Amino acid sequence: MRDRKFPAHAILGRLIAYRPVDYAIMIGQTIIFYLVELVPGLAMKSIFDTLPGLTFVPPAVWAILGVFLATALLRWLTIPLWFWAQSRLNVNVGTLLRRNMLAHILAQPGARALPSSAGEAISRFRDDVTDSLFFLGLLPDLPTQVLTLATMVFVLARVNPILTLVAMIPILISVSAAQLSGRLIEYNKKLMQESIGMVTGSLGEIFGAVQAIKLGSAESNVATAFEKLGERRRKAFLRVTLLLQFLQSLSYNSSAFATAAVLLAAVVGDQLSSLSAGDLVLFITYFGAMNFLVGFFGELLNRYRQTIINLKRMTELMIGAEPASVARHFPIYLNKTSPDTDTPGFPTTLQQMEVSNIGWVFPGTEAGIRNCSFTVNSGQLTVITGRIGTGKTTLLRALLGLLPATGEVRWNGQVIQKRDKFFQPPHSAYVPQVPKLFSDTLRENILVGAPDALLKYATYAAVLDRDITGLDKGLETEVGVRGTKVSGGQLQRTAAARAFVRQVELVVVDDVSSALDLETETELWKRVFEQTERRTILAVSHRAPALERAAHIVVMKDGTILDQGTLSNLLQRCAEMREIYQP
Amino acid sequence: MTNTGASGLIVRYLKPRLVPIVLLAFLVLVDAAAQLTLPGLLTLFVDNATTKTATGLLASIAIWYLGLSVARQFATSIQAYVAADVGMRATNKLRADLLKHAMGLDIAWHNATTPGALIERIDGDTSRLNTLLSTLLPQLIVNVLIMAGATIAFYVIDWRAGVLVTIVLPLALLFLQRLQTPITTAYAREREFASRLFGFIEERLAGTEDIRANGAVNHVMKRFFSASGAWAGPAMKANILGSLSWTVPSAINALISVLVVALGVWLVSIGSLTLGAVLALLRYTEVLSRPWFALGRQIQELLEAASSLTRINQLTALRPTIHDLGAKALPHSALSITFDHVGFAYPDGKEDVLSELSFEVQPGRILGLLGRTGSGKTTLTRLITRLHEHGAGNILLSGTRVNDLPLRHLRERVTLVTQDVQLFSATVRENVALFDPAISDDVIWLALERVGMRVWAEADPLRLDRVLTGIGNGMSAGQAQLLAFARAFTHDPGLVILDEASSRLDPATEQQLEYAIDRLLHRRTAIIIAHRLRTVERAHDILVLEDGKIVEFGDRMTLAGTPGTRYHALLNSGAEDLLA
Repeated sequence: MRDRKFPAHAILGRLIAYRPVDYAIMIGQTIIFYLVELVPGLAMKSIFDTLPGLTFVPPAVWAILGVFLATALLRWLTIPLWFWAQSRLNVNVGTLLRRNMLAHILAQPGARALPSSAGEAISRFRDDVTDSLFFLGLLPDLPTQVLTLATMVFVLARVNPILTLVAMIPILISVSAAQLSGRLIEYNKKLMQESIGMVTGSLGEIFGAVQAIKLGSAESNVATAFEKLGERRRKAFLRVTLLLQFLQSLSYNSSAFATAAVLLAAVVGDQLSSLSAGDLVLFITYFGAMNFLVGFFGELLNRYRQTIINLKRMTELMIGAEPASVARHFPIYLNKTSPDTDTPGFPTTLQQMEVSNIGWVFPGTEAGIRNCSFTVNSGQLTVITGRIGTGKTTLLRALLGLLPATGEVRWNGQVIQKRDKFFQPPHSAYVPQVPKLFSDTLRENILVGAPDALLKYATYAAVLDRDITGLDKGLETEVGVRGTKVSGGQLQRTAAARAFVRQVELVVVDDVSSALDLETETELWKRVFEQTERRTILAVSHRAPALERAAHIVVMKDGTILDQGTLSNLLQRCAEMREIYQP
Repeated sequence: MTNTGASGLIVRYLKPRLVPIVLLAFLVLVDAAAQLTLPGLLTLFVDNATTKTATGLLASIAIWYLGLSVARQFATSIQAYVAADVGMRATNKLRADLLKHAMGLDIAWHNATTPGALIERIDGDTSRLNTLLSTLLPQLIVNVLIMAGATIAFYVIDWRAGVLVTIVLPLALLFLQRLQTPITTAYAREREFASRLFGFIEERLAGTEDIRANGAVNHVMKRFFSASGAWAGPAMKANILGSLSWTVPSAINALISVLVVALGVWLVSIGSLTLGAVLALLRYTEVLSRPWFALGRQIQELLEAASSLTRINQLTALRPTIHDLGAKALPHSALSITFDHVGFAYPDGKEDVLSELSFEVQPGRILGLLGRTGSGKTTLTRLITRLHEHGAGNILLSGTRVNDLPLRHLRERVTLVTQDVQLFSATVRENVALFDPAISDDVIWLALERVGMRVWAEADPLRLDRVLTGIGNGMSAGQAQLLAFARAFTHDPGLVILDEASSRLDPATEQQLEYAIDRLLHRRTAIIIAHRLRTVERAHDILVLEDGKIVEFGDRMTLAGTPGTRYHALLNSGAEDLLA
């Protein structure tokens, strides 16, 4: 259940160390806030012990009332300071946490960057960050509460140790009850979090597939399936609510139980004669304050457990990372623009790329690719072809390092050590089979940060130029959520332009045919190679325009390379090639 | 606030839960009564203890004190459970209704709204509503009862103390009211920027491959920082302003405590009050203090819930422009298609996407739809299925206007297979049947067999219960497409529209699918948007679109044999110029 090795404290410590001044302000205010709790009881005791028999209010009593007022003012006038510091902490540390998660995810092999859907992951970016920061803000309360409680116990014990001891019993019972049920709560909360994740994840999918749902008239059935997830969440939520509320009531009521116990003990043990009116008032007033403190203390302990879950959920998102790295310090740029850290080095001009023995098996299955070797020559189009499900895309992803595959890739004879880091600009650019556009302008979707020097060439080569002239706002057209405002073909060609706009040695293209007609595809390959620049392309395709232009073709079958060579050679000797090629 | 519609919404969803609500009211009363009685008992004890009366009375006071505390312990726990149940059931229903409502809205609206923002509407806002129903409202009622009861207690003890409390409390409430508007505004602004930030992150998370392999990581991080920076200011402002609704009443309450004690001390010195009564005043000030502490926080949450309600109402106020008012039915045979001077433009667009389309397809015939990208082919097919509503003219299926048909009926009789593969993290069965429990396993197996995915499905020990976890995890994009294609075989349509359907498949596998398509099209009317001459060869009729207008329409064989037609030119050039 609870992982002993999970470095929750180290993470929290690193987060605090990110904004030490803000945190110091919060701690300072917290100390004032709690210690002021000691004043009313003592003030009331001295007033009650002084007042009887007097027909005027002595100056000492007015002075005590003055202190009473001053401490209350101090407490409440400084609290906006706490919120100000906490806001700064939240905004800065929250952004740091999100930055670390996002940066890690973007540094992962792209095809397996996330352990769950993007919709589910977003709840970790939002809710888990917010919740753990909330706890971080309340953390200084814990020691200060203990200190205040201890002082109260000390003061009461000096008045009457026996009654103080009796009063402590219910308080201790309630705190241990909260502690003992910790695992039960953690387990149930985890179930609840999971059920929440399923609800949000399912909503994300539903809205991503709304057209299919409408066409299938599946609105009601989808809503019914969704309601089942909600029902599951309701049950998990109820269990957690009952558990938490019982414990919370117990800790708030424990002081009422303490009062009851003291009253009974005082009567039964005949302690009343030794108590002054002021002493009784002190006991009662302090129980009121302890009531609040112990209750809040219990809530904080629960929050602590919740926070460990939150932190775990965040680190789960960072596949392969040390858990503590979620709190690693990096600069964040909230008020200024972040510097350009990517200074693209000069790539070694590609002469030849040798792919040897690439293999990858999907975890827990037999499916995958084995022993794939071939060579890509500079200035040529190399095509990987084959039937559906033979592993073409998997081979591409594996050799690019988008999957953690085995085997080697040599660049001009030199083994590439970290392929996933190597295969990006200035070495290569990539057009995925199912490209993703972002809700932004066409220009932003093509450039995504690249300089616009090659923009004209890129839109021309991707056969996107005539679409752009056809659009009212041209390159400034908004493409809509996930590119839904442009056609499938435009989306695919925008992704192609995205690759061509980058100054790279190698462009890797996964099956553009899924949304391009033959004419456009023919035009695309023609335009790409008509430039004076030498373009090296590695593409997955099964269609004539690509196969006919290819200098080298790799034919895949059942996850291995069946044959390779030029089109004419392959058509002569390879039956599979003859099946695939449709002029 | 204009929350009449909002409270109407709450009442509608709470009505079926009347019995638990009555139980809730009873538990709330027990809780409030216990809280109001406990300090009274305490004062009674202190008064009798200092005057040294019989221990029997003191003992029974102590036992009563214990009993009421225990009663409170159980009352609050059960109350929380019942309230959570009421709130969850109501909001689960609301969530499902909102989802249904949102799914019913126009496809154009969906294309303009991020899924992240919709999740925030349907889940985030309803969750805040759940907090309102399950914790906020019951607590608020307890607190109001206690505040009223404690105020009365003040008057009973001494009228001057009562006057003090009744002057200061309304003033404090008034002051809090004035704080409300800036706080709500600050929260709304924060939420707006937060939803932009998380919308940004979500889209990027879905496109990690594109970002990484094209070296755009640094750029994405830059944009992330600027989105975070835009959110930071409003977030700080909302947090600090929001805290005032808690700190201000607490500060006021602390001041009241001091004032009450000072007043009590003075009253004792002039002989109008006993010491025990001063203690009672202070105890009731403490009883008042707890709801005050909570009230501030609750107002904060109430404001959030109120703005959530407003947004939910904004969502429910949206109406689809495509109305489901038809009541006619289509025959159970192949359908004919008639376009009669049909035009279409997007609501915000200036130019017509389609104009003056008139053509007819006889039942059982197959229409090949040709034209370049952007010529309006996809839009044309979406008009038939009423994903978009056509403007001028009429579209008739077997003589009935599509607008006169119930949407469900229309979309059952017309099947559209698109290039977008939209699969769910659900079982194979649910994916093929689109969650329709009425579709039997036999039908699903048959559908899988027809698209050649039966072997794939049988290979997994869970078979139809296998849960799909997305493309890449043991399923290729092509297989995903085949699985989506299987859906078309679960109904018996009278018109099939294939929109670039087979494009992701390699020719060898497509062969398999061609056979399936043959079966699907058998004795049915069809429209095919194809990329291959071979696929168009199925067609009986050919329609060529250019810039939203028909430039050629006729029998395929006739067109093929008539030199000068575009189709003839296409066949002879082999350039497939029109297959875009």
